[in-house]
Amino acid sequence: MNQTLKLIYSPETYEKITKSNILIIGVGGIGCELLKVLTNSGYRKMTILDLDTIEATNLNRQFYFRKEHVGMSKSLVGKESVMRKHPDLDITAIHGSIFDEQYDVEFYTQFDFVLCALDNALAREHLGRMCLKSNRIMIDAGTGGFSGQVNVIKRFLHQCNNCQPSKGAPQFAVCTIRASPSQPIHCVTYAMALYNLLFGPLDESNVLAGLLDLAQIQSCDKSDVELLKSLGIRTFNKLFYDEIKQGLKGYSKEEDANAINQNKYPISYEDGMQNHEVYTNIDQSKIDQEDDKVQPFSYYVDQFVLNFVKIMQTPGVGSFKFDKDDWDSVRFVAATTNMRTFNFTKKFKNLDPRLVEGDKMKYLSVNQVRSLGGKIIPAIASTNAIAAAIQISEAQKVLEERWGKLRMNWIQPTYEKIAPTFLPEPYNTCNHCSHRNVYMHIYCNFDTTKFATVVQLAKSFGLNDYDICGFSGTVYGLNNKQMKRDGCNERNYNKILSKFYQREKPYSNLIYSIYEQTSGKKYYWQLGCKYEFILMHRPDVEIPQISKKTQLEDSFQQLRTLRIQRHEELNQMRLSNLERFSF
Amino acid sequence: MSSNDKYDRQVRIWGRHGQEKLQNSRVLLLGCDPVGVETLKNLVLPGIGYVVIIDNKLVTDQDVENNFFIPYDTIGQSRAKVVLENLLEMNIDVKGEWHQIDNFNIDGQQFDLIIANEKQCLETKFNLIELQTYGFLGRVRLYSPSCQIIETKPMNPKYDLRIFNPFQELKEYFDSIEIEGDVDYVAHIPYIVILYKALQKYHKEKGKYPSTFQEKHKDFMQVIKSLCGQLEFQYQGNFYEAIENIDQAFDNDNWKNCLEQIEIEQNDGEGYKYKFSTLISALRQFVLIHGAPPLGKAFPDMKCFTQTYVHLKNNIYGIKVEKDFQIFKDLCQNKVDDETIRLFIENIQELKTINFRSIQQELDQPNQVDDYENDCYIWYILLRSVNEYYRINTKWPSQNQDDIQQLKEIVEIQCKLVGVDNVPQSYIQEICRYEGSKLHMIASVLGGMASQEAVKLITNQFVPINNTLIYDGLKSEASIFEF
Repeated sequence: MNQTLKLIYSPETYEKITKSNILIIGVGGIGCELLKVLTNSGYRKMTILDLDTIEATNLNRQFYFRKEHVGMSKSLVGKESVMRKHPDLDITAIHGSIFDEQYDVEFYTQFDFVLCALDNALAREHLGRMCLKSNRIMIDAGTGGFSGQVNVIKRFLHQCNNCQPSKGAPQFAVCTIRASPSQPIHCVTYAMALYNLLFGPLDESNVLAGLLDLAQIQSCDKSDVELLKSLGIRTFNKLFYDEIKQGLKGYSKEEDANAINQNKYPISYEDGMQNHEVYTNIDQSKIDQEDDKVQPFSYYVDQFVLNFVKIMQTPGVGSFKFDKDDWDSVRFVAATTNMRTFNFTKKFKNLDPRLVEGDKMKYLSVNQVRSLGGKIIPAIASTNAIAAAIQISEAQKVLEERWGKLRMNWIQPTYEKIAPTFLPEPYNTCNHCSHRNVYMHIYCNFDTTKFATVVQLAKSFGLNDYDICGFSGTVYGLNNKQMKRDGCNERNYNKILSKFYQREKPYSNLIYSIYEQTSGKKYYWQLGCKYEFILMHRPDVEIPQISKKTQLEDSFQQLRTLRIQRHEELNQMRLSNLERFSF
Repeated sequence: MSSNDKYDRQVRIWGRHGQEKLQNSRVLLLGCDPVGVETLKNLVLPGIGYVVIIDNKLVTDQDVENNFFIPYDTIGQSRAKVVLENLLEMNIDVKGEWHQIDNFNIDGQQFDLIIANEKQCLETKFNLIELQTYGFLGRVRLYSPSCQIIETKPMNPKYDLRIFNPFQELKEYFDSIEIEGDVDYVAHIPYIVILYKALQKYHKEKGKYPSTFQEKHKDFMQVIKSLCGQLEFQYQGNFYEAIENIDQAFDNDNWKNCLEQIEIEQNDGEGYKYKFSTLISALRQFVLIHGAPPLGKAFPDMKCFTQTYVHLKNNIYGIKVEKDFQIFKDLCQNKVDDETIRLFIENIQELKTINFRSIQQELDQPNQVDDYENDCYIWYILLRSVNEYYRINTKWPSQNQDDIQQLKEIVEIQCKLVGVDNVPQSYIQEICRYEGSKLHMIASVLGGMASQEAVKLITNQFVPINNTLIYDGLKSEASIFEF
């Protein structure tokens, strides 16, 4: 029994703290701090989930990990380290990806709230959507250097992280990457795409798709080093000599249109190996790390072929993706980057000085390439500590249900250091959290229930024209001509729900979005609304039922707000149907 | 694993030279409250050099509850020892020592930072951070005997382009260009020329240069727009650049203010302080002769022909930069290395010095702040009051009536001292509820902020807060005051 906490909190709050069940996604910099604050603030039951393994660069801030843990699972080691100090806690550690379908809506509903300590936008958006579907409150944090932020998302009350389009990686035009790079990042992007093309799985969307004849590379004998080496040299000449030379002729193709005004400089492997020039005006002698130096040109030429052979011999080639912590891939990408830089700038000395400043083209060291390609964000323990502790302080408000007090917290390097602002409201047009979205959890037996039930349910809500979308696209469209013609509607209508799975039990949730179409309006959000039916498998349920855990009040509220657009009686019917189906 | 690898993510913030300073520093921790230990944790992880922990207490149940670095099986052992052992376990590069004593004799020792919690430390020779957590409240107090920062690393760095007061060569260049000719030519005139021409036109029309905000951002902007004449929209890119960078056109006297504020202490010897005062006196001499500080190398990208850009950067600004550097270097009389001189010139627009008030000064008479509405200010007065209460009674005020009454009397005295009428009753009730408790959550927030400031003080980069931060955990809001 923690005396300090009993003194500070009311008995009810204290009980809520000790009884709460928390999900923590990410056991990295912020995750470690979260575990520390949670376990010292009376929380007892938690689940931690992380996909990553421990790396050397983590150790400057992720204090649950030691040198000997490098390479091991973050979540498992994290749990072990926490339990050593607090053997009485109830911690579940999962080494896995949140994209895995077993972490479905039902998985999330067992927790009181979700603490997000992720570092990538894609996973964060996915988590945000899952929290909306399962009606869990998400407390999110992110840091970079001395700055950071903590915000809370409660469904329908606050803007979700899908409200605004993702500000993820900047996209470059294909022809910029392929034919007219003007910034180092363009060359790095090219190099990473080349790596994925050569050693990764087949990907039609790769910007370099079709550049090389891959069949020859993939089918060669990987034990013959000499053969691999000659193949590497051939690939080199093809990429950095033939292709560039061809561009010089100025084909009328779109991507070569830019080439006419471009100065392009082909380089062959043989010439490259003779070129020992160091292309930089920064004094390299003061840099002690080899990987921080810009090396002589021939070094990179050699590295290209050397790492080509090395990667080709690595087991699993054909499934690789550029990884900033795989040094073979980093070196290969660094070599390619500098070859591209040569192709488009050639000699440093006669170079436009604008091309060596700031974002302009320049030759890069291995570490610079790694930094640009891996999108590495500076991270320190102190900012993570602030962010995590504020997350817990927001969590306290969530447990006490003081919704009005929840805030967006900005962590700043100077000024006020911590500045709370009001959380923004959902966008009217948001596909996930505006009042046009109605979420419903439905229990049914997947082995006996037909898809027809979903259609019936949609009908019972008074929908006249709608499309039903599953995970992989539209599965049923009432007035959808193509669906009708192909007989999809009929086929799906009579399908037993379990037939939608390719594998046997356990079934994960089935999620169907029902987009209401309104005649004359193209987009459902202009007038119609979206119902999200989340079906959960219950072998003992005979008639499908809407789960009480949905928090029906929420759904009622959503339906009531729809009155603005709809007839009163239609809404009354919906409300009564909602009640009829629930128990 | 090389040790550099481990620090990769932080070197990106404070550079290798900052990391070196950190690794050579000695830090003293007085007292083992959660907040002090949390701060030290955030310094041990990034690899501080040497740690000395002073504490005279033994581990109790309460320590185990709110202090992460005190395991449950150490009750009864020396707190300083347990904390040091558990802290150093996190980073093998860090060394340290502990002493279970009451009064530590600081004489003859050198520290880069003292972190004081539980007890007040009135030392004025070294950088000092004083920390306190009290229930949901927290206080960070910074002191530095000399805080002179070259690398302030502002979020939006300023350029020194001398548009308002161009040097001879630049003026000649500006005057040699007319904003007329074919479309292609006009669309590639660099924005600095446009700003200069606009200034001249404004002066010709109004007989003076823009000075008020209205004149600068509205009237002057109109002049810029008028310059582009009939140019079609898609060719106006450089004019828009000029409007975006409109502030560059006006005299930037930030360095003047800074120079006035800086008092040079004539001290001989070596080290950062000595270098800084040498540089400042060299700067004074330079300004006296040339009327402006030496020109920095930073030159922004702008829309123009490549050869124009190259000419501007290398032949006009570049030559001036090199000339100024040589003159400035001579003024420094070989007392400062070239690297530091260059760093100094690059940062002249942003130099910063802070004269901290000492803790004794604050105790005797805190600065008056006219921010009565701010909760954090009220909490500051109450924190002073409970500390005063503790000094008299050697215990924290609890919720019983006698305690509250006595605290009220103290609050009245403190209110007079800081020049406030009174504080709301409910706040006194609330602070009595805390009874000196220390929450780990608050310690963690405060430890994070304190260690950020600690890094600033040790590495001499970024601008530290001046001088008190009050954190209100009820609202999760922080305010900074100079007391």
